[in-house]
Amino acid sequence: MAEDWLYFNGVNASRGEYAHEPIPVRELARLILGERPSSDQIDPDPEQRAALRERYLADASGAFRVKEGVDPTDLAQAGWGIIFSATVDPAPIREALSELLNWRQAQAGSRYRECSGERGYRPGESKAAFLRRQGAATSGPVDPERFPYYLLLVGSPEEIPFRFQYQLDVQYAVGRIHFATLDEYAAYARSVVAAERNGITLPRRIVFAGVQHPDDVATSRSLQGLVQPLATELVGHPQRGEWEISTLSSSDVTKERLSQLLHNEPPTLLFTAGHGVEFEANDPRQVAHQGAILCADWPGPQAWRQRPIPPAFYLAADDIANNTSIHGAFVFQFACFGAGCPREDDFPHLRGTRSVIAIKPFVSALPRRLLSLPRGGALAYIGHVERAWTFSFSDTRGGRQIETFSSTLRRLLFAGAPIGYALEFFNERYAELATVLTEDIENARWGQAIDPIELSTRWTEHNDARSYIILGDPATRLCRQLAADTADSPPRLTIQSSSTETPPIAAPSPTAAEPVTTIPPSPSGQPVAPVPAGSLPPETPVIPVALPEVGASFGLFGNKPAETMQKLSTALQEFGERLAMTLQQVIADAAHLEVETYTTDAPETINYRQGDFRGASLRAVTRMSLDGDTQVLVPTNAEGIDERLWAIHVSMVQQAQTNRAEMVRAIATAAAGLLSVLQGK
Amino acid sequence: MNAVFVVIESSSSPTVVTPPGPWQPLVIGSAFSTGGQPDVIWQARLPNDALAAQAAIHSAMSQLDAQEQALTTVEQRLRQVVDGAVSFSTTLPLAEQHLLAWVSMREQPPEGASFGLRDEVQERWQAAQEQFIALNTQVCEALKSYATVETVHGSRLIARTRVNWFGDVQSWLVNDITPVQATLHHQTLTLALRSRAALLRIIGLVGRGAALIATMVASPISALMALPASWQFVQEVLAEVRQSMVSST
Repeated sequence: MAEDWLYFNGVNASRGEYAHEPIPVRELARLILGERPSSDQIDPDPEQRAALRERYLADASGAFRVKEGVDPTDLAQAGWGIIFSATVDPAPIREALSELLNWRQAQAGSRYRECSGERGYRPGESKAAFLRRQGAATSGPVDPERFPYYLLLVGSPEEIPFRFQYQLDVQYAVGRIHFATLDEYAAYARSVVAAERNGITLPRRIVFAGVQHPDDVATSRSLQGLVQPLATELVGHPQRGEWEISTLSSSDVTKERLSQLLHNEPPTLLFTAGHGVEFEANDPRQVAHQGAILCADWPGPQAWRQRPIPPAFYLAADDIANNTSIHGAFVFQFACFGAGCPREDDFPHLRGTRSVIAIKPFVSALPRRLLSLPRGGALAYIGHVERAWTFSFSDTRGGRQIETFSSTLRRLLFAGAPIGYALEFFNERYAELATVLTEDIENARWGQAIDPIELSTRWTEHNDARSYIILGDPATRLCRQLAADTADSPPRLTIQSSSTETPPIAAPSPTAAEPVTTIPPSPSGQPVAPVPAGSLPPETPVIPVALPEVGASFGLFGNKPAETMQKLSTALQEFGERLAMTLQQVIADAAHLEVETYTTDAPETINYRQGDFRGASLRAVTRMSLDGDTQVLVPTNAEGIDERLWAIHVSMVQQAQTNRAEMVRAIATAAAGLLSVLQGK
Repeated sequence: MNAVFVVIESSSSPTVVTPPGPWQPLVIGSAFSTGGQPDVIWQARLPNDALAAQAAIHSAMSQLDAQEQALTTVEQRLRQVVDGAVSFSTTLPLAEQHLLAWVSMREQPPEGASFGLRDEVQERWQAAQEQFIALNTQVCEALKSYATVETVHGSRLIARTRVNWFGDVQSWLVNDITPVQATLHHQTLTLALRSRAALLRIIGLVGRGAALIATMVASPISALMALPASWQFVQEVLAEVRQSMVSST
């Protein structure tokens, strides 16, 4: 019977089959309890289990999330803070976000906080340890005088783990941003400030897009058990007001239609439900495409029969054009991996051990793209980390549990509350389920019989509720609409090409409809692709090394003008020749990049300059050709892939790519300067 | 133990230009090895305490950021001088003051009375010219060689990475390298490579600056002749940053 099975919303695009086979609930219950039931399985941190229980009890007694007398929707009262990893230099990102930071500082006043450097998040730190260092209480209602309620994490989940975000979210309203470039950070900051300051032009429209594939129980349930009843409830809600609510029929949710919706007629809220595509950890598409929305183009598991899933079936970040604007929108994606992917799976019970599912944890690319659109992006993206289960909205006995979703959307859209506060319903549910589960497991430990269906239901619901996260600033909210007479044109942000000054915000008005789309070059240190041969900057060309005749010096160089000028001339000539030679070699070599990583007991003993690597073991190699051919040697150890070393090697590859592009730019700059000297003779 | 950042070069030139960032040059004289051009070694010696090491790298990055930022202002400041938007004033930064002095000297007949000023200014430009030649030589030598970046944590060399100008990378890591140490080395590598690129960009900047300065002088001169003045200007802008960082600590 279908009711006795659990289904996941994920399809493995590498293999073309379900990422995780359905599992009988009784089997799951057995795995959850294991040989020796322990509440560690709910959360290994006892302080966190206590915090969850306290939150549950507070919610049950009607206590508020912030201390008595504080309005959680007012930043001046609730406060706002930003948290960087202690291990990274925050300065460049801080600079890129300066517009947002200044805006929030003005709103939150004395309750504004920046945590970076020593005050930032330290590797391996728990929520309680972090909060103690900040002088804040580690549980109970938030006192914004001690630490702000709205907290924006900045960085990858490798720097600030998802687990820390889940923990902090139980008590605070937490969001995260992580982008690959400073331009994207700046674009997001501009979008938020422009929307809040000037309003948005998107219509008050909610679009529900629920996919349903043939022969696919998971999407049948998400459509019928979540999307349709949720839309119906909101349509009939007395607070609905002027909101237009539409539901795309499941066959309409094709990649083309969804893409058209986002590009041409974006709603204020897009709610999607379906499968997120998933890839193997060693699949090169994983970081770019994992969590992408599998559209109705996929004919379902029976018809497709385990063939790899092509990009034509799913909507991914690279399908979103650079000139798209969804300025001021919110996106809610119900799907596996929609928001991100941890390094290890969250469901160790299924295999007995935690499996490595990604080389390193990451925020999914689609939300990153939609948040950082240069002409105006979404304000926040709510999605799921890891697998999403059907139990998010229905239990195995057919009961509907959409109130968490419904309350969140009503608070966000009808009440205009900040998204971090609106999503508290998920955290309440997480706290409740974690507390009840902990008690169940404790009871099982002492021999009490537990209903396997109840246990499985609670356990999966608990994981689901925990893993919905906000990507974006948790203090963003639905922004006011511009007046109708100024809202004829789609919203646009103006991007200034200057990289040295903070670009002013251009109001999304008709006068700003013609954007300057010049994007400044990536600052150094930002990930960039290798520079393809033949695409060097225009000022790079062959350098004429013949220098002008050394003429009269007009006494500028003392009594030896000719000698001095000759020295300069010779030095520049040699420099020009060397620069030209290096450029030629770089161009010739630009099609290849090679990175090798060795390990050794003592690096100082390796005679590396002579090419004698005795005493060192070659552990990882990446050879990249720009024709797409890449050879990789992955380090292994007794357990399989040596993940620790592989992560280091991958960071070296990224560094090498960045460095190559940066050096080409630097050489081009030097060459251009030399040409200036020659032309300015 | 305080962090130390050194860049070790074999050079035949007695003058070595300090790269942007926290690096202190260390010249070990000409090498006569048969192994080709010796590597330029960028070495970070970090304290054993991981947080102190992180803080040192963070501070070094800030220093480099500030200098890179200052370099982006050079052309604009030069243009202000060229456009006549500044004039002699005691409140004028030294870089602009010295440049105006150079232009003024250039405008005077060589035989004019100088009361010693001319000699002093001439000495300054003579030194600037020597330094700029040294920079060219230094970068030329670097263009022929690899950069080796080393991270010493406590008293132990934990990682060494060799990078050529075409971007290929070889790394040697200690077997038991920790994630924190790997991060430290990665950051040291970033710091060194950014400083190396900045050194190269300075040459371009000085060239463009010289072309601008050449337009300031009424009698036609070549941009080549203005190179030392441009170099001196850039150095004084960087000195302002160093000074401000010292004052703020």
